[in-house]
Amino acid sequence: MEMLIFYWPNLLAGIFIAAGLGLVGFHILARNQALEAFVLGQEIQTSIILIAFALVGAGTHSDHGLHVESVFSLGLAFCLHLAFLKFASRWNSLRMEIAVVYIFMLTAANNLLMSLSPLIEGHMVASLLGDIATASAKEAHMLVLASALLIGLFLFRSRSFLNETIEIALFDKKPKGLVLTAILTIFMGVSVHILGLLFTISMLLVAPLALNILGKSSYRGSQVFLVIINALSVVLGFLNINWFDRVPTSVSISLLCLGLSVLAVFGLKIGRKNA
Amino acid sequence: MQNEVLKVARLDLYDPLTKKLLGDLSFKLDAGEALHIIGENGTGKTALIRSIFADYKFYKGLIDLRQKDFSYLPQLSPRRPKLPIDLGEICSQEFSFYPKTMMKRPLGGASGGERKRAMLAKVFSEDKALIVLDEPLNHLDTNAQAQVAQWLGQYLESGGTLIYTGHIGGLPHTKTLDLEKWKC
Repeated sequence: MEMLIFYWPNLLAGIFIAAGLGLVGFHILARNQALEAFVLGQEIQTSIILIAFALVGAGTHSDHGLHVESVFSLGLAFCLHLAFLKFASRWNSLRMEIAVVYIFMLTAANNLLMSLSPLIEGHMVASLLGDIATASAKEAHMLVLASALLIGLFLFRSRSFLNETIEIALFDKKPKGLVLTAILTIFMGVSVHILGLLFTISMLLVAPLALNILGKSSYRGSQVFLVIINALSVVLGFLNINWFDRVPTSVSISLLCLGLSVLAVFGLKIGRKNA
Repeated sequence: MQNEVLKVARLDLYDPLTKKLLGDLSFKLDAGEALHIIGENGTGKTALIRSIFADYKFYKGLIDLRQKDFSYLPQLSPRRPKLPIDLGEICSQEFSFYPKTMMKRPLGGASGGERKRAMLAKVFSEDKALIVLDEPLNHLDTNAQAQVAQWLGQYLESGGTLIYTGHIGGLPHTKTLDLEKWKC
């Protein structure tokens, strides 16, 4: 209880980011963009490391205070992703292969930069296995505010996103606007920076995947399911620190999300059979 | 002239690998008419429709679409959609070919015909002055085909404008555009 009183802004930030990622993930999966989302996560990680590398080179790098690299890395990742989308759409039949090669090249670049400047190793580890408890109270408050605004924007345009997703899923149409990509980039940028790539991809894809296995739902029902599974994973993963303080929260949250999703699928399938 | 919905003049249409499909194509369409685009596979029916609606850029010539407010139904993707919603989320308005019972079917488990019916219902419920349909009767059984054709007939009689590919029998005010004449 004492821990909850101390860390409540961090917990709330985690819940909001997880809920937002789940809501967006529903569309990412339906639009066949799961691999592209993973590409984006890798681009964000590389951008964080690249900006941190540049700051170390310029002698202005600091692990404390405002994380300048998070802001710049978001812009850089967005530009990298637009370039990737443009290139991949030109060679559409090779899209998956291009994405896989690109992911490995970005991973190689990360390791190259880390070997050139060991000071940025902390960024590499944090962007893969971040820990929600390490964010400062000020950062957590900002995250809550930013996530709430983004979720609000998402819900405001939710129906138009669904209409576009239906057209993409049924007719292989190309997305018309970049609003959903922008929301995804900001959510993922913040999430990878604070909570790591593992947490981000889990929150984005695991619960939406479970929904697809369940098959039948209303759009509103799907949204409620995603928010509950992801939020519950964050709360339980956070409480897990009490018993397994050596396990990073992102690891326990990801595993709990998978466990809860499997339980929900079985539970609801059995419930439907008996109904 | 006031009723002109679409004017196409001296259009050269190419495939994405820059092979010329059609040359010097010209036609126009007035409000209240149906344009039936026909031609063998690969002549460029879908490419022509997509270029009219600014979705396909491999062409030279004039395409003047005056009716900007339209509904467009492309061909269905053969892939099963990864979208866990019921058909009723696509359209909740009932039609003779799209009864209320069908709306409860999950999209992921729906057949191609059921998906097509839901999308046709969505397009028809949007109440637009121009409807564009690419092979609308594919995947449908004969009963549903007749019901869709009947709805389209009533739509044209009430002043609607239609562009379509694929065979739909007995539609009024229809003119045919046989692309074989402009094939390169």
